[in-house]
Amino acid sequence: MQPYHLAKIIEWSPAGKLRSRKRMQKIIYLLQSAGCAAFDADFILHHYGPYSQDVAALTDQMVSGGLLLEKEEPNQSSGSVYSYRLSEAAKNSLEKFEGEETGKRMAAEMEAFRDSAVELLKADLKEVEYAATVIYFYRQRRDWDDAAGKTAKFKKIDRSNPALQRALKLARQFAN
Amino acid sequence: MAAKPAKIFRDPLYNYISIDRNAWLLNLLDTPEVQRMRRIHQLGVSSLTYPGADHNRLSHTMGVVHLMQQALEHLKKIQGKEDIDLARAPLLAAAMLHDVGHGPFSHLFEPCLGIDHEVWSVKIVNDPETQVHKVLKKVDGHLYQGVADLIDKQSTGDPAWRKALLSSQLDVDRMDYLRRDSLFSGAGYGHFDFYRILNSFEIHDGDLVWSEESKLAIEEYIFARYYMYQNVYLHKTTRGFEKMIEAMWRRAKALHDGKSDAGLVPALAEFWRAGPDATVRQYLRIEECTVLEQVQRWTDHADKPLADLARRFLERNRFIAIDAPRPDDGLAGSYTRWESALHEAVAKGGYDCVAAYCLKDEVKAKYNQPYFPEKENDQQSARNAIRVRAADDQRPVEISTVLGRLRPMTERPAASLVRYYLPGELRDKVQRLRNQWTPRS
Repeated sequence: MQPYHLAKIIEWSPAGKLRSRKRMQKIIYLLQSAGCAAFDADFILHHYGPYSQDVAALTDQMVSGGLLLEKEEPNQSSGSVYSYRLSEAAKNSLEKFEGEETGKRMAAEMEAFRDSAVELLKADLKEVEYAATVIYFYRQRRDWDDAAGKTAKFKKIDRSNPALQRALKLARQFAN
Repeated sequence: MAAKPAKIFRDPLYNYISIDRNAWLLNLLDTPEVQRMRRIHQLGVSSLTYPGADHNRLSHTMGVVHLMQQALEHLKKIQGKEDIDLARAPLLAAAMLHDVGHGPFSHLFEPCLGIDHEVWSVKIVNDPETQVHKVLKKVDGHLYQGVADLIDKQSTGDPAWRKALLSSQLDVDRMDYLRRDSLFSGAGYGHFDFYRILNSFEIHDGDLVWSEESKLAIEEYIFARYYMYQNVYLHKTTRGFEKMIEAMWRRAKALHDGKSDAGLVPALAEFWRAGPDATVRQYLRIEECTVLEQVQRWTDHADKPLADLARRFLERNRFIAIDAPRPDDGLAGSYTRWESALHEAVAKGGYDCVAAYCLKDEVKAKYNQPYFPEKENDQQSARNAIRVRAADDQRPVEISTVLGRLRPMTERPAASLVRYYLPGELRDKVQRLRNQWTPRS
């Protein structure tokens, strides 16, 4: 996974701002599950669904390299939340890169996942988190009912929880 | 009948490791699958750089069991005895078996054989034919499942604290290998107060949390990890030999897949022929002696690059390392221009097979960062972040919030390091190329 791929997700975010590292993690996991080969991060499951140290490290690396602008914002439920925008340097670099041969090829690969990414960028964060978790379990047994049941148990929610039902529907779109 | 005294093992790190003679754990230790770990180098080919680093996976495994025993004793004193007693058997067995699936030279052969040692550890535990499985089944019909779940990163069946004790950013596995690898390599960087760390944590909301009093010991641990990665695990000479082995294996696999005779020893031929259907028995037959015999055999192979790489490896005739210049594009991390120039230099130097003589090594940024403090509070767990709690405060906090000295290391991660390895004969040529390299405007 290259900085370019993460930059594209942020570029597609509403108003060019991606809010919450959790959303970033889950979107990359879901797009990877949908077959986006550019995302080759390793994920483990933790309390809040699939998590990748590769994604966390790349994000921090892009912030320290001046490609991403990071902002800490207060959040009622979890203390603080981080948001990300592309820096001017990253925007210029992106435009220049996509004019070149390699950039055109990589842009075409990413374009196929644009609509899916935009949908996830707008979706309710809790549902995105549940959907990623459902897919994580689905990949173990290829059984949606089993995956939904395990997610409910894992997240300590009721199996009939409406958010989980919507997440299950979302997950089905992204399982490859 | 009086209980037998514990079986005592001498260990260079802890002096003594004791295991209850009446318990099944000793039977587990004596299984052929666990004993096989005696024949696996803990640090792969690091002994080509650090001559003392010849220790094996079994000594590390026993160290992990020892630390797990201590951690459980501590928990038993401060938590409910029943919970800890229930967790004792699966956790001790998992400590003994967490590395049982390692292949020759530990992590080194994972890319060569296309394997993940944890997957094989789980397969070995679950396979009814292995002695490991039989011992576990005799203790309790379902113990093997509990052990496999603890080792399997994909599994979620266990309470978080159990998994975190075995595998997280501060676990008994890391606590043993950092100090052990430091001792045997002689590098001397892996020191930290492990005793304090092991005796100052509790289970809080199902997760591990340390007392704030141990924060300096944890800081020491994080720095020890950093120094060990920089000086031992990622040492450029070691990485060069790792890349050489990988190149050798790629070359042989290409010959094998192309229906040419790769001159394989029987165990390896059988494993490759089986592909994804390889059995545990077939996997366990691939040992370091198999690999060394294979490399020895390749020194006379008709394929010149393969024979040359094999000879270089056995003679410790290392490739030179050259750091890549800044990539042409920060967004794509593109080294295309630099690689083309290197390939040209290699070809002009008389090496027809560029893929065998220009070896790229990309160390992911995460290996340059010894600890990740997940920034958002709701992402923090024992697996994601180390958390501490002051005596008068109920709310655990991520450790870098109370240890300012950690922040430069955790908030400004080192970028990925990209390096190329080439035959020493090309040293002057590529060094000149590197010195004269101009970044693209």
